[in-house]
Amino acid sequence: MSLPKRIIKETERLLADPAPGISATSHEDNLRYFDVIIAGPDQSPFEGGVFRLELFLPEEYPMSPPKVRFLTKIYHPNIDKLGRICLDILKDKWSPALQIRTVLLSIQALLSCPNPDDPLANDVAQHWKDNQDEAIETAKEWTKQHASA
Amino acid sequence: MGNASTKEKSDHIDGGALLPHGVYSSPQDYDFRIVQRLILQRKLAPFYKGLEDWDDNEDALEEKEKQLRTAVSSSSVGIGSSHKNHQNHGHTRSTSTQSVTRANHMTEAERDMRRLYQGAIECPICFLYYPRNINRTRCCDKPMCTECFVQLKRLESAPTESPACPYCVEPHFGVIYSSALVPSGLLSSPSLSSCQSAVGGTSMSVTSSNNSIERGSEAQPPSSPSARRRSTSHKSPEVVTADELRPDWNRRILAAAQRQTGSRRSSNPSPMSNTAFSLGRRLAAGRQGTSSRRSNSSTAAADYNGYLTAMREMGTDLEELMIMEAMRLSLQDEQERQAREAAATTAAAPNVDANPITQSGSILQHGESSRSGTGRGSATSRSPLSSPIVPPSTSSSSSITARSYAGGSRPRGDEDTSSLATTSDGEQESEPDSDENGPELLHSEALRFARTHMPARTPVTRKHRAQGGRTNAEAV
Amino acid sequence: MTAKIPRSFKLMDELEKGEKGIGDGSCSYGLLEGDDMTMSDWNGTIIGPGHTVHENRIYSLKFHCGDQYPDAPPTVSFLSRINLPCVNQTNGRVDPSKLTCLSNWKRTFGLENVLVDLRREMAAINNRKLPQPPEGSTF
Repeated sequence: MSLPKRIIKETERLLADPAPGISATSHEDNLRYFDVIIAGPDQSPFEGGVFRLELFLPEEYPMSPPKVRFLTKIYHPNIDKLGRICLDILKDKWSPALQIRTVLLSIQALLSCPNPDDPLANDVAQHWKDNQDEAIETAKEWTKQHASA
Repeated sequence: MGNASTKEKSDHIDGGALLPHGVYSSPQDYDFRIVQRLILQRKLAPFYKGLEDWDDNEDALEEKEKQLRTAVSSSSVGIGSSHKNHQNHGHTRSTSTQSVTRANHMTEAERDMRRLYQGAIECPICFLYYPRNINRTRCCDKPMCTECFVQLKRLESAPTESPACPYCVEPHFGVIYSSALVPSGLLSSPSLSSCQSAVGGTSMSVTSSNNSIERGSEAQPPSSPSARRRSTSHKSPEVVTADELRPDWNRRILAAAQRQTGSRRSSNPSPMSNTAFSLGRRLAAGRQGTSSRRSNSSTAAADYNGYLTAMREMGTDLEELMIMEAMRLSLQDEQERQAREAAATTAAAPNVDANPITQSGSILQHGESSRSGTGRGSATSRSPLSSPIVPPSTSSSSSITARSYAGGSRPRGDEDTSSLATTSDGEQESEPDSDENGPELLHSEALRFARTHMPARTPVTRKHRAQGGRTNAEAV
Repeated sequence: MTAKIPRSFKLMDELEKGEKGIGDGSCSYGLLEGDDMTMSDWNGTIIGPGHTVHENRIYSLKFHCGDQYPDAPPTVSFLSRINLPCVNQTNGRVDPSKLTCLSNWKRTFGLENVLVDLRREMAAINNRKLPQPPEGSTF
């Protein structure tokens, strides 16, 4: 079975019209596997950081969501130590009308708006709730330490 | 019906096919007999060949670009993003027409095919180009090809929730099909022939200024979405819901439960147990909670796991609870179905397409049923092909489906196929008597299935597993 | 060409499966370090099959999933001492040529297959009565 046309078209459109602060390039030997870079959004603790992610389109895509993971360490209540992301559209709220592009934009938005009430990394979320300023400082330090370009 | 066979091959209708073209290569689990019937009844668009690229003639290029933009931007949900670049759509591919023509064995009608695809629109799910008369969602009036539509089903992680619209997340996802835009040469129905004038118009419902196209035929269903349509209830008879294509979904609940119990011996990750009791309460209180659940729960998967955990913690017999839940849901579904049928009956008078046939369990061969008179009020404008034609492939393919159910009980749909095959005049109607039998049959099947299969791995389970990358994918 | 799942996503799937518990609970596995983003080093346990000399014993193992995983099989070693033909008696290393699932490794296999295969070895007719080192001893 050849690569579904949708994946080819999405890839082309990502290249032709990239979303601001986001790049996604597929591996030559696996066109379902993407290297992703997301710039830390302005006015967020991740500002100035360059975050690497990997994204994979499973066989069932687009009926199943893409799998996405941070490769760069990040201090965020919805992203765990292994880089796994707690985001509803990557799970039960996935819709086949969403695309790689919308997924990555959502992740970018998640960086701007951490949600400690729906945590994946419990200790980070607790930190965020107990002392938000301090947690944000830690996130900034991690960004400097791990996500410098 | 007679003229149908003279005008087109039995496996084609409105220029499309009764079988998918393989856009999705994974094993398919919808009831294809139901799908074929809905296509023949013109309640669902046929499986049109999706084109990778499409260009109308040079004159229409600008129009097409406009449509492309509309189709593509409609595919962006959530965070707004639109694709302004369509760099690959500028060149003409004359071969497209030929391949379509060949695929449909209609070489003599190449011109018709060309017209059929004129103003082709991109399905926002598979990104292929289709005739502009493909299905529209009942809720937000967006296009969706049949090949994509039949993929949409309940999540294995949340089997109690009806599929939601991929575009607007409205529950009880369903589509509406109107064949009114099909060029005459491809239509077997003489009553629709005057729609030829529609050719060359722009996609329906894209802009309201197109109201005037393809009007003026008595065949035009009153509900045809030539203007931007308002949301249509999922109970409306013209709507085909995603659930309709998989009437055995309650069995899937049991299969899902079985998988969950089998795979979760060790302790649960903490987030799951958080929701356990609230969900258990909600389910116990009734199903009202499920519709609102989408908006406020963290993840449906966690909910469902939590539910199972709650049940286990309460020391209840999980099997029995699952069965009870399945029974309750199927009862409720049956009630909904009956309500829908009642609505169909009342709505039938002004609606030529009114057809109360919705779920497989309700199809019977008794054309003389009390409802046939009211249910099919205006048969005058009904296309002959809305009566069932059983394609030659049915018998062989139904055995495949039967085999896939080998581990469970016989699918209810079997009766339907035979009834279709033996119905000569096409006056198939839902019959109240057997409607009442429906739930019981369902329940006994559910029980039987549960008793036979809960403890062991069964072919049914394996079948679900085979396609079940979903479960893993969701846990990410 | 079907979708070829990359190493990390394959391992994440395995991790989730392992966290939920596999099969009848006689085998389990997990990441050695919960924050190892490379997901290379894993540990596993096998509960000895009944009606064998291994009954009621719990065996610990370690896995290393290299860069080529899952195209290449993991390396597998017993931490608990065990007398099995496929296990090197000096260092606990499982000889890949002597364990079916390693010698016939497929991309779709995972750590679970290795554990289940090893447990099957323990219960094999020629191995079930093999004299065993004292319980709790390690390589």
